[in-house]
Formats: sequence, structure tokens, C-alpha cells
Amino acid sequence: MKKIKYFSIILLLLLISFTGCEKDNIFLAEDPVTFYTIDNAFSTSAQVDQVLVGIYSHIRDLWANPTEARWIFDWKGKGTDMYDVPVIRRGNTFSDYSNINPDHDTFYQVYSTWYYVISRANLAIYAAELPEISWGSDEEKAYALAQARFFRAFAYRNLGELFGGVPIVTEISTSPRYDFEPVSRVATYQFAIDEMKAIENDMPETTIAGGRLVRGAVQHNLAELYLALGIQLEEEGNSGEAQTAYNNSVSYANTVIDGGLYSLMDSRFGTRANEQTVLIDIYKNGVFNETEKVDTLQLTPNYYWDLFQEGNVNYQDGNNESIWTLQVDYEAYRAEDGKSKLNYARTYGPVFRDIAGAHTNGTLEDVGGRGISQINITMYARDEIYEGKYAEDLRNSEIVFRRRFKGNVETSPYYRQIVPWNVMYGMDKDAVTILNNTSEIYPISCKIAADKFTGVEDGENRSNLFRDDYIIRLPETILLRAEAKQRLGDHAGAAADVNLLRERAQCSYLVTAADMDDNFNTILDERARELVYEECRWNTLLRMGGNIAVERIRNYAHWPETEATLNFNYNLWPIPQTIIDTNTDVMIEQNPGWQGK
Amino acid sequence: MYALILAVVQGYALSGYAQATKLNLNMENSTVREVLLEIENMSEFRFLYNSKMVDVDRTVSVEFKNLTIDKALDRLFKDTDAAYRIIDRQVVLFSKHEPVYETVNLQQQPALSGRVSDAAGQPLPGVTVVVKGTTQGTVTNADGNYSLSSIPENATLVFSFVGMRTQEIDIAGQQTINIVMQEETLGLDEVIVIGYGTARRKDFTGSVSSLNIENSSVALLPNTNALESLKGNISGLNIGPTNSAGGEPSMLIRGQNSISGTNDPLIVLDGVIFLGSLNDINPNDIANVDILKDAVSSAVYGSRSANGVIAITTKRGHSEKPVITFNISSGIQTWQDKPTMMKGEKWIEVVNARNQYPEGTTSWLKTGELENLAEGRERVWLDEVTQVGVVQDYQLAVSGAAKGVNYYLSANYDNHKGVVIGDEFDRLSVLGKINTDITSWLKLGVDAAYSRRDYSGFAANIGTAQVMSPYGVMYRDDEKNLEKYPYTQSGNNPLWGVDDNTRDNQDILQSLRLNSNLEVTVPWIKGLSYRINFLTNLDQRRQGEFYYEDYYIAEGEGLHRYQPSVVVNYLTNANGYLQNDRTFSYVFDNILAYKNTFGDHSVDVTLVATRDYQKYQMVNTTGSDYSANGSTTLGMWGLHKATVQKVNLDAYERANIGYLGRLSYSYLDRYFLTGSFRRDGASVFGADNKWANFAAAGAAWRITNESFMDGVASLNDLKLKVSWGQNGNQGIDPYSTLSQVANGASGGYRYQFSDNPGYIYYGLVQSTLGNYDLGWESTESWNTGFESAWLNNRLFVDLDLYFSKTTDQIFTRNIPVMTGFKTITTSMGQVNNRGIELTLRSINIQNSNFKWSSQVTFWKNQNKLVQLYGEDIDGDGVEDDDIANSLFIGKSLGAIFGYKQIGIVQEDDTEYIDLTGATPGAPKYEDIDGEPGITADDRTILGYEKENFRLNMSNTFSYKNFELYVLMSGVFGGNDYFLQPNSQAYLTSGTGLFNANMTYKPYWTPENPSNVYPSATFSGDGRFLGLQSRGFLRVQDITLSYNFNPQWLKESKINSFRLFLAAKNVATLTNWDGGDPETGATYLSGTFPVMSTYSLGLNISF
Repeated sequence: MKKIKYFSIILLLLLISFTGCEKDNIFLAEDPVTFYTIDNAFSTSAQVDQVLVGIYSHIRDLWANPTEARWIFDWKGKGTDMYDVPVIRRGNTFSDYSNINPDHDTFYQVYSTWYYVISRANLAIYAAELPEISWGSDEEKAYALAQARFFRAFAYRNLGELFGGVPIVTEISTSPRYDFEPVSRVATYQFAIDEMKAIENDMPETTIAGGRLVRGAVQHNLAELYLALGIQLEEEGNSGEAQTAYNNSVSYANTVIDGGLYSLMDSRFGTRANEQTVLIDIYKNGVFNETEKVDTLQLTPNYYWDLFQEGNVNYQDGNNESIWTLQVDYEAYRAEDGKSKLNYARTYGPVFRDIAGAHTNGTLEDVGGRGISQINITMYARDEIYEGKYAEDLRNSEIVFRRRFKGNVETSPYYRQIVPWNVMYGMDKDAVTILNNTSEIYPISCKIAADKFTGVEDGENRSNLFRDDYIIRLPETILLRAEAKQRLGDHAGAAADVNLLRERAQCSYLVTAADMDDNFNTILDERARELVYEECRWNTLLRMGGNIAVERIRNYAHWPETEATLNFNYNLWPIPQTIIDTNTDVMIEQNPGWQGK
Repeated sequence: MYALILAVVQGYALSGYAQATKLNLNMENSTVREVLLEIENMSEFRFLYNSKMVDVDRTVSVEFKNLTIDKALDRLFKDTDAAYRIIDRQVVLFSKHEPVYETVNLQQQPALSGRVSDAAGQPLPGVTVVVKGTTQGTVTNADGNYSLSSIPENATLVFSFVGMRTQEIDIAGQQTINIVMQEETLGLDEVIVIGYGTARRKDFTGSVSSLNIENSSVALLPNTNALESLKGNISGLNIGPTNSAGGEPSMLIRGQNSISGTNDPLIVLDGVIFLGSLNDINPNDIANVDILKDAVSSAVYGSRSANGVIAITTKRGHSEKPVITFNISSGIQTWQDKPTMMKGEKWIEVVNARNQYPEGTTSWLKTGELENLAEGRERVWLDEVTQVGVVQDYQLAVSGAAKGVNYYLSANYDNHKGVVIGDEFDRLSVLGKINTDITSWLKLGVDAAYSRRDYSGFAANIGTAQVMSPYGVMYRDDEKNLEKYPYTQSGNNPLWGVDDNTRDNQDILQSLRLNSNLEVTVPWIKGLSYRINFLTNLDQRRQGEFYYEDYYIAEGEGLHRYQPSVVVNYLTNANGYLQNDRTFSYVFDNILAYKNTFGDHSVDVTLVATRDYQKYQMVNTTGSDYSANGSTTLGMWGLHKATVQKVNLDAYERANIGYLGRLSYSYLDRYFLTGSFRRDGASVFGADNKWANFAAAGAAWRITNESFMDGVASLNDLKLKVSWGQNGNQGIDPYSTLSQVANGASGGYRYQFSDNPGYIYYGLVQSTLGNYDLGWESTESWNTGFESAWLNNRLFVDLDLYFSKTTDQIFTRNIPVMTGFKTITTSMGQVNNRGIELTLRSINIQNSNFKWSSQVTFWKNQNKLVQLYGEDIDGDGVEDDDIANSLFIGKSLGAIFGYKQIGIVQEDDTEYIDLTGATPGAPKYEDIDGEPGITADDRTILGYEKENFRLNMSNTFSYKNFELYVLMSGVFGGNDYFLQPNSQAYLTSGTGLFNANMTYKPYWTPENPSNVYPSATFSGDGRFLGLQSRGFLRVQDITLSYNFNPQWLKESKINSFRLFLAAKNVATLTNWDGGDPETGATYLSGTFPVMSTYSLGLNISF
């Protein structure tokens, strides 16, 4: 018994020394030291703005695609009537419908990316209202909220145009949910419209900070949203309300176009306004070396070209048709922002060295830089829209859409002469070769290349442009108004709007009311001429409803498998299968055309 | 039963141990047997006696106070006819009245003599040598020698020694019989690590597998990582492949319990939880490894033990005389089954077909390629980036057990040059262990270990080497300077930056471990002891990289690209980083143990309070743009000269607390019970879910100790056992429950506005959706089985059956992205595992010169997902599957869900083509749902990535001084198990590069209507998987060793001298196309090969 007593005493002493619940819980508490959590991230209004900066950054990633995500190329228009893949990228096709189904990753990525925007916008709105945040002024807070709500509505517009009706989420999520209930496409558009209207007056008309949102961007979106709403209402047989919507669209477009703030640029301006000629050096065999310079190609600049030069893109640069832009800053790129670039010369540029390497070799300015052609432009977007009476057009001028290439290969019969396209395309060869060749080389737009690449002396390799880029440019507002007018039956008004652009582009041919066809070909062609490499073509085509998208895709796709496999109709992208699979508590219905794919 | 006749050849003195060990014992009315047992319990003495000669059932009362063993035995056997001999720790009891001493006779005319040694060649004194069926015998002397006379020629000798396997040898007329005794791995007295203490295997109720590595054949293998030795030898333990110099294999015990949490077992090193890297433990320092597989074994580790426990015990001193050991081995490595990429001509043909270029087109080749084509120069790039690897390993160790002190000191150096050029590793490790008995009641131990691993250097890019143009240009000039763009579409030369000084890399890991322990044997309560372990571990990793301006040579043609005047412009691109990672951890155990025997009852109580803590800190600094500085001469140590400099920091802490009580009880050496309870807290969980309780219980019955089993002569030992218990898994990262925010320069979101040129605004983004409810994942499991020995201890059969269920699974669940997040870490659901594990060991042939023993291990694990979120949306009364995450109720984890391929679409499959829009040459899928066309409902479970079962067999052959060990190991599929997508085995297109090289496939064409390989243009459709089985059978390990034992060795004081050859991964039989089936590497994946190694080495000890 004595032993047991000893034993117990020791046991007790030890146990007492080990335990102590409070101490234990302090020992186990988690306190991250190198990052913030949602509970301590917000203490100043600057942090609310950081959430907005995160969204601006996200939008730039979507437009400029600096990481070359395949799904972003898809979303930006690959597989529409305007863009396809070159032969070397056939594995990345977005027009072979035996491979396109609701499981396709692009659909899930695009759907997700807009909900990322929505969730971040909701976070900014939540944070802006936190009691601990003190704002410098009511206007400052109102502007922060307005930007957040703009982004959210902008995301819903995109989702509505591409996927139709989607669930409306207006709060931050603190725990997962599985019961999102989609609303109709009309309700999706309507939500975005209500939001845009609510913030219209909180947006400044102009700002000194190029890249920040302004009121014009809201009004442009309202014009687009009302147009989209009208089309959907009409599809649902509600033409009365559709007319109201179209009228609203025209009215918001009027505010932008005729409000006095914005106007089409129709004279030389900006950083290179004084240059009367532009020379592109030709190096022997495409080898960049001073001693190898053997020739030059002379081009004549014009004001349309001025629109796409470094330092000319922002409204603050004196560019009156610039409504909303994304910002690229070479200094920031060098410092640490590797995404602050437009890699268009690389990703959109043709690959002459592969196809026409016997005549035009290398990766210098004479062939548009170091193109790898992640996507190409279809024969429609490069040639057909300029055929006939449409050829004379500043947008088809030599410096804007360059079709002349001098041979730089010493052994070529076209050395130091313009190489004819039929030689480069190999038109004397078999049909397959021609199709391959035409897929990989094409005229070069000044929107994706430069006569002088920034950063070459720093080791840059003519892949990237370092200028700002348009997200919204006035001509698109004008084309939205033209479409709304036409849908209202005002063909003359629509033609007049199209002619605003045609006159500015010094076209010899102006359209007439009779040209405004029921399939909106004139408007879509004009969009292709004016907004190539700018507009989100999928949004446009799917927004227009009917079978416009599929018919144009069938007509203009570069490769034969598109027509062979697009044996069904659709006018919305499919709801991604993952969305249907994860939203377990509410069944989300698949969009028409995609069931059983 | 036979009587022992002991012939003692020479006198002896008490060994250091026997002198140093003082016995304190107080027992009343106990049998002599119990007293001896108790002495065995409290010391390392082991008694050997025949109960017919020595009366051990005599009842005595003894009180020993600080007595040495001889004094204690003198008292115990006072006034009886029993006598004893003490040889080190072994005590032989015999009767004074038996006729024994034949010393004189033996010395005069030895008819038969020999030497007995252990596997390492050390002489074994005290081994009993008896002529089978007689009372004649002897004991080996201090040099391990014995001699016997007047032995019948056809007699059989029986050699026995505690802890060693008994051997029977036919004399067959020989005059010299030398014997190597093998450790008795299934020996009943084997001590196993059971967590916060040890137990004798025979007393234990759980399932523990052990491998004695020290002096075994597997120890000869050139393994860098300690666990590689276990591969194939322990049933239920999967050890993954290693495919890089100094790589660490994966490990999995008894299948996958956790869907997304870690499935790594807990490592316990010398009794304390090990929080460092296994690669810091030198395999040469390991004595044995115990694998705690079932719940009652591992539950004492509570929250960490759901995936089992691997307990590693390092070597210690054995003999009073210091033993100096020197081991050296050196070998070569090769790439087994290196893939053959297409030769130039074939490649051109395939590229044209893939891109639908006209046959024979070469216009897409670059100038340099065309030149090589014209001159017929081709390059096999895979050969260019590989070499014969070299492995070297040197170890020097000193160990001993002097009076009151046991020490082991070891230094080791390894150097590996892998098969892939630039894949290099070297390691220096030092271990020192000292245990001292300060007083009879206080013991102190200190282990210190240091390890330095160096992985510096860049390995060649074998991914690029596989796709590179066969006509690519390797050198830019005649001086063998590399061309950066050889040419396959901007692909760098696979050797670029490896040895050309265009970039630098350092990666050095250092680890310091200090483990101290103190044990107090409480003097006034018999059997009570208190132990403190305090282990600290400091790991430091220094990494750095630097890319010089000439790394950034521009793409193109011509030497001018390499001119200094051009390259100097790339100073803006030069960049590098330095990173320091520091992980400090400590483990603090308080262990109170009470062990005692009351008559037929033995109890063992352990109480533990433990806490551990780990703190990680990382500092990373980067520098880029050296144009202003003008030079990069300083390399990575000139980061502070860069124009742009940045700092990045990371840190985490994790902490655990555990309280444990365990009770073991045994009765009459027949019935055993173990029970334990542990309460654990872990920092990684949500505030309200940090604590959980884990209980376990087990029972065993040694049925052979029952009198009714006496008649079963062929069965030597049989223990039945059953156990139940709970374990936890905390396999999530710290801070996983928190909603984390990314912001600032490290957040990755940047933007600029035009009014502030060059100024970078940083975005703020919520990066994860937290989950405060995240709690323990717990596993409850049952284990039953038996351990048995048959046929005079020549056949051992162990069988375990288990069933476990793991609930509150922690996993990454896909959630609707409408929340703003695609995934969340959550805990719900249940996974069941069941399995069978069988180990058979046999001694097939055993005579004086030749011995053949075998081991077969078989294990099969099946798991089943029982429950997920408990949702039944479709209302069919069965819980819904989570298709998005490939989780299916009632099915195994690792399900592969998709469209079942039924060949290739042929031109005459018009109906299929019309319905699906597929083109001929594309894969064809089965229409399961009956709806026209291929729809989402045609998806089905095609198979499982998990293996079906594993089967291994090892054979050891000993002939005289030779020993050959061969391990065959197999992982088997079947029944749609062990499948993996392998589209690279079938596709000709789809590499993302129009002119990528690859292995040739006979692709579909109208003329070659293959039903296996799609057309050359088919590049994937989001559905095609190309499933293949990864099942394989492999000659895993071979060792051949020879023990030298000539006279001159003895004269030069060399105890043992052993030469050996070892080979690993000798040949593989598989149907998998691509790389090694065990890694599941596919063609073009760039996965490093699992190397074949052949090495030669020697062990010498003095």
C-alpha cells in the first residue's frame, strides 16, 4: 500500500506539471505572421482600392493574355468567323466540334474567371462598408464602390452574352454553397443594367489616371446591355419591351457619342504625329546586324495608325475616342511586372520563317517581329471584308494592315523585292499545302506589331508591344448604336452610323440603308474591319442570337473539320459540366444544342 | 528433451556488462523461473537452461540489493546442484552432477572444430553446440571457436544462441564446420519498438513488422534513403521509386486512408518523433526498423498515426572491445529501357503526316538542320544528356559497450552522379550516440547528428531531349560551344545552362539533431521509471540560382548572337535569387513507466505527456537587371548590385500536444492485453476543433503455451491476436482553416495607372476560402491475425487481416465557382480500407555448407468510398457521387471516370460519324446510355489507379562463405486496377509542337486502319485517355557477398572482411509504354528514369 501511495503522488505531480488547459490552447493557437487573412486585411481605404487594383490587373490578364492561356485565346475569338489556328497549332483548335463539348476546359475557365471578378468586386463592396475604414471624402468612397459595382455588372454582361442566364451573387462567400439558382438571361442583363445605372453618376466623366474607369465606360456598357436585352426579349417574343430596350441602347450610345467628350480622331496626333514616313529596315537573311542591312521598306503613316502607337492610346494622351484602356508600362515590366506587356507580335503574329522562309526569313520588324501565331485571322477577316468596293480604306492602308513584304533571303528570286502572296502561299501547290500555308502567314496589323520594338536593346526579342490597349473605343459604341437602330427598323440611321466610321477611314464607298441586311453582315463586317484584334467576337456573335454565330463559323472557319463537325446549332456556349456537377443542390439546365454532346 | 553437457574450454572473467549491472530485486514466494524472468525483464541477461536439469519450479524468496549477476545467482542457487556460466549477457544454467568436463580430451584430439560468427563476421562466444539427440555438446569460446570429439559421422549439430536462429547442420564427415548465425527476426524474445517504449514481440498484441538491417544482405545495397531497404520486405508497406540522385521515395502503409490529406506514415527515430527529412538519416547507421501497422500499435501516437508508424532504431555498441568498421562501396547506374526516339527520316515523315504537309516536305527545317540532313548527321539527344551514373559510399564507424557506457560514432560520405547529366548529389553525415549509466538509478543518453546534403547544379532537360530535332545543331562552332537553339521551335538545347557557366545553382541542406534523454529508475518502487526525451532539430536549406546575361542568347541563326557586344545588352535580363529556409523543431516527451510481475501476472503501464513544435521561416531575396551595374561577375552573391531587388518571406508554426496512457497485461505468458488512450491537440485545426481522443485495445493468445497444444509437434509457436483502435490524421498545412489574402509585392497582382508612370500598384485578393470547421480526420480500425512458427522453427507464417474506416475526410472539394473559389478544404465523408497481409519465411535447406532460405510477402489492400456529403439530389435513394472530383460511392479511390474507348473510328463507321461528328482515325467511344451520340451519360468508371496487390519473394543462399540474396518484387493490376492514362503511348500529334520528335507509333491511315493508334492528326479530344496497366514484375535487389576468414586476417587483428556485389532494379517486366511503370512516367514527360545500379563494396571491421 505504501508503494501505491508513492506511485500516486508521483503520478499526480507529473500530471499536474504537464497539464494546464489554458496554456495548451495558447500553445496551439495559430497566428500567421507573413500574410493577412480576411479578418485583418482591411484597415484603410487604400486597401479597398487594392481590391480594385486586383480586378484591373485581372481584366488586363484577360484582354492581353500575357501568360498565353489557351482558353483566353479561345474566349477572345478563336473559332469564330474571324480567327482560327495555324497549321502548327491544330492541336489547340477551338473549331473542331468533335472535341467541343460541355467538358471543354475553356468554358469552365471563362465561366470561372467572371465569377472571380464578381467575388472580388463583392469583396471590395463589403470592405468599403466596414466601419473601420475611413474615407477621405464621400466622392472617394462612391467612386470606389462605383468601380466595384461596374466590374460586377461587367462580369454579368459577359456571362449573360456567352452563357445566358446565370446565378446572381452579390455577397462575399464565407462558406461554400451548392445551391446557386440561375436566373434568366433577361434577368442577368437586367441586374447588370440596374447596377450600371445606379453608379453612372458616381463615375467621374474623366480622370487623370489613364486606365481608371470613367462614366463613358458605364454608358457604353449600358448601350450594349440594353441592346443585348432587347435581342433576348425579342427572341422570347416580347418585341414591345425589346423596342424600349433598343431605344435605351440608342440613348446611352448617344450620350457617349454626342456628349461632347468623345469624338473620332480624324487627323494626325500624338507621339509620332510629325513623322511623314516610316522605314522598316531589311536585313540580309533576316539576320539583325548593322552590316547586313541591305534595304528598307517605306510606309506612309496616317491618323488611324496614330491610334495604335505608344503613348497615344489613353484619353489623357489626347485620344478622344479612347473610353477605357488597359495599362502597360515598360518600366514596371522591367522592374517586376512581367505581365505589363502586349505579347501580340508573338501570339497573333504570323510565322513567315516557317512557310515563306525561302524568301522572308527571321523575326525582325520586316516580318512583324517574332510571331508564333497562337491564333491567325481567317481569310474572311484578312481579305474578304476588303474585297470589291471595300478595298479603299485607311484600315486597309499599307501602314495599318501591311500586305507588302520584301524578300530578305539572298538566294530568293524576290530578294529585296516585294514577294507576291501567291508565291508565299504556294498557290501552285496542292490544296492541303495552300490551306496550311494560308493558315500560318497573313497580313500584319499595326495593332499587333510595330516598326520599332521597345526594349530590343535590353534583350527583348520583338515579341511584345509596350503600349496601352483599348478595352472600349468609341467606334464600338457607334457600331452598337448602329445595330440598335437597325433593330428598331431605322436602317438609314444604322447606315449613317456605319458611315461615321467609313468616312473617318476615308473609304471610297459609303453604305446605304439598303446595305443593312437582316443578318447584320454589314455591321459584323464593319466590326471586323474596325475592331479586328479588339472586340470580343464570341460575345458579339452569341449576343446577336439566332443562328448568326454558327452560320458565320461554318462559312468562314479556316479548316474543313469545322463545317464537318458543326452539325448542330447553338447560340450560347454550354454551361460547363463542372458547374452542373458541383452545384449539387440545384440542378442547372444545359443550354440548347449542347445536350448529349 | 536432452541434457546439456557443457565443455568449458577456458576460464573467463565477468564481462563489462555483467560487472556493471547491479540487480535490485525483491520477490517473495516466487518460483525460480519467475525470478529469472524478472532478471531478464530488468536487464539484458538471458538465461539458457534445461528444466529437467535445473529445478526452476522451486519456490524461493529473494532480496537482491545492488548485486552483480554472479552474486545474485550464487544466492539463488545456494545449496542446490545448479551451476552457471556467464558469457557476456548470456547465462547458462546446468547441473553440477551431470558429466560435463571433457576439456582435456577435447584439446588433445579434436575430431571436429569450427568457428561461429554473426552475419558481420564478428565471433560469437557462448553459442551452444549440441549433438542432436544426445547429451553431448559444448559452448563456443571468446573467439567463437568450438571443438568436439568422438562424434558419429552422420550426426547433426544443433547451434543455438539467444536472439539468433537455431541451426541444424549435418556433419557428413566434415572436420571443420564454420557457422554464421543469423539474427532471429521472428524470435520470441525480439524486442520491438512500440512507441514510448519497447516490448517483447511475444508479449505484444498488435501488428508490427520488423526488419533487422544491421549486417543483413539488404544493408549491402547502395541505397541513399533508409527506407529503400524496406522495399518488398515488409508486407503492407509500399515504398515508391526514387529517380533522382538523393531522391526521397514515397511510402504508404496499408493503403490510402485519406482522400486528400497526407498518407505519409509517422517516422519515429530512436523512440522520438522525427520531424526532419529521412534523407538526413544515413542508411548505414540503421540497426533495425519496426513498422507499426495496426491501431493498437500506432494509436499511442494518436493524431499522427492513422497512416502507420515507421520506427527506426540506429546502431549501438555491442562489445566491450571497440569495433571499428569501414564500409566502402562504389557502383554505376544506367537507364533501364531508355526510350528510342525516331530517327531523322522517320521523324520527317511523321511531322509531315501530323501536320498534313505533303510527303517529303522539308521546308520547315532550319538552315542548320538542313545542312545536317544533307550530310546525314544525326544526333540522338537522349544519349547526349545521359551518362553512366556513378555512386560512391564510404563509412567509418566505431562502437563499443564499455563499463556503464555504450557508444556508436559514425561518419559517412556519399556521392552520386546520376544518369542524367548534371543530376548530382553528395552527402556527409555524422552520428554520435552515447548512453551512460550515471548511477544504478540514473541513465543519461545523448545523440547528436549532423548531415549536409548538396543537390547543387542543374540537370539536363530530358523532356526537351526527347522532342528535339534529330538534325538539331548541338554546337555553334568548332570548339564545341553549345548552340542554345538546336532547333525545335524555341526549345533550348537540353544541355544549355548545365555545364556552360551561363547559370549557377546551389542547393545545400544541413541538418543538426540533438536528442538527449534522461531516465530515472525510481529506487524505492520496483519497476517504476521516469524518462524525459528532448529532441531538437534544426534544418537549414540554402538555395540560390543565378542566370547570367549569356544565358539569354537570342533565338536565331549566326554567331553574332554570341558576340560580347550583343550579349552585354542582356544584362537587363540577368537575375537570380538566394533563399534561406530554416526549420526548427523540438519534441518534448515525459514518460512514466511502471513494469512489474505479480505471480503469473505482468503489467506494464506507460503514461506520457508530450508536445512538439515546429517553426519554419523562409527568406528569399531576388535581384534582376544588371544593366546599371554593368557586370554579373559576382553571380548570386551580387544580388545587392541589381537594379531591382525584392524580398519575399514565408513562415509557419505548428504545434501538437498529446497525453497518453497505456496498459499492457499478460498472464501466464499465454494471454496478453493492451489498452491505450490518448488525447491530442493540434494547432492546424479550427479553434473549436483542435482536440480529439483516441483509444485502442488489443488482445493476444499464445495458444502453443497451452498444455493441450503439447501434442502438436510440428507447431512450435502460435499466437492469435486481435486489436481495435482509433487514430487521427492532421494532414493539412498550417493556416488551412483561414481565409487567406494575397496582397503587396508578393501577392502577384500588379497594375499601373498612367498618372504615375513606372509606379506599381499592388492588388489585394482573397486567395482561399477558409473553413473554421475543419477538424480531425480519424481512422478506426480492426486487426486480427496470427504469428506462427512450424517444423522445428524452419517455417514461419504470419497473417494479418484488417479493416479500417476513416471518417471526416479532409479533402479538397470542387465547389461551385460562383462562390469565387473553385475548391475548398473540407472534412466529411468516409473511406473504408480492408486488406490482407501475409509473410512466409522458410529455411528450405540447411546443412553445414549450404543454406537456402526464402521469404514471400503478399499484401492486398482494397478501399471503398462509403460516404461523401450525404446528399441525394437525384432522389434515387443512393447517395450521389461527386463526379467532378472522381469520387464514387461504393467504389475505390483513384477511380478513372470517362468514356470507354472501343477502338478507332474507321471510314465505314458512318453511323457513328454522323451521330458524333467524329472523323475517321479518331478514337471511338462506347455509347452506353442508349441516347444517340456520345453524351455525358456515356461516362463510366473505366478502372482505378490503385494497384490490385503486391507480391515479393526473396531468396538467400549461403554456401560456405558466400551469400547470395535475390529479391523479386511485383505490383499487380488486373480487374481494371493499376491503370493510368498514357495518351503519349498512342498519339502522334498533340505535343503542342508541330515538329516535336517522339517515339514512333503505327498511326491510323486509311491504308493502315489501326484500331489502336489514332491518326497522325488526332491530338486529343478531352476524352481520350489511352489507359494502360502499370503492373510490373521486377528483379529488385541482388547482393552477393563473400566473407574472408583466413588466418592472416586474424593475425592482423581484422575481425571480419567482406566483399560484396550488389545490384538494384536489374530488370523489369511490364506492359506499360513509356518510362518506369512504378513512377508511371510517360514518353516526353521529362520524368527522370528509375536507375539500375550495380555496385561493388567491402566491409572491414577491426
